[in-house]
Amino acid sequence: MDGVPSGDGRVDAVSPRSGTMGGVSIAPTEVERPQTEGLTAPDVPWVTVVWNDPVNLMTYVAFVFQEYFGYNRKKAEKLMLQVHEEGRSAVSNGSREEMERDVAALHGYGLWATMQQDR
Amino acid sequence: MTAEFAPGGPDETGVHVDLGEWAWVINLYVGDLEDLLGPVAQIPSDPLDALAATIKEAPELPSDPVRARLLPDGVLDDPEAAAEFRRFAQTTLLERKRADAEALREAAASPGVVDPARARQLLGALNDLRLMLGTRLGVTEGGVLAGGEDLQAYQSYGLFTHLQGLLVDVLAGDWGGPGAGDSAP
Repeated sequence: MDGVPSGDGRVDAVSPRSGTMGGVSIAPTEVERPQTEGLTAPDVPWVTVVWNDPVNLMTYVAFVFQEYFGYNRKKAEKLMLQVHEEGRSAVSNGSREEMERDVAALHGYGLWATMQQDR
Repeated sequence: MTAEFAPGGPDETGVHVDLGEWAWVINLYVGDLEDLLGPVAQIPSDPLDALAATIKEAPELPSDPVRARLLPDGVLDDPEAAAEFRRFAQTTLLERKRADAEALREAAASPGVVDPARARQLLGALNDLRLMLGTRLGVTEGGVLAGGEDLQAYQSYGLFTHLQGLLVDVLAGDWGGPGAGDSAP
């Protein structure tokens, strides 16, 4: 659980809500990373997953992704369609604490979201 | 006929709300929703008692399916982590839902322009009402299965779907004008 250092040295954790424009990551190796993460936990990143739900409106779900994460419309709609068609989508990633905030916020909007470690 | 929601206020940054026609049905189900959410938890004034209350009442996934949908688990397959998440998040979540519901009740009582923050509360409350009714009616991807059982709930679910769709369009800048309703260009 909490506090187990993974030490696998992953460098591909994209900071949440930074917007990897259209899902394309550029310059993966030399990304400047803040040093704050040592304060919180191990570096196995966590993800927030949104699950499909027959009640939530598609336009609403896309609106929430734009509004809360600041994603552009294209990305928000892509994620929404993934939720709808594949049943789930990983919509953000980061530290455990960041994902707790994201999941809590998405529950506030009424979306069905959970967090998990991205192994 | 005017739309229930339309861009309004200075620079059209707010939302003009006119729910008078539906006030009775909104009040009915907002009351229902508030009953489901329950009263605001009384936090003991003594800090030690307050701490004890937090530790003792490790909240669980509610057994009622509607409450469970409104207050879902934040972690799957790990009851300990799920309980920890709930302890951290549930009070705030309940407060938000209660405040949103109250905002919708007030908006239904008095037509006028609300600011964007208030409009988002109305959006949240409409979604909660749809989650409540949708869960009760057994809504699936294929539609509503149990319509005959409770016609009023079925029709109200349709109404709230219409209202929420309209409000999303207004807030997302997709509003198609009066009467445009479902098919924005």
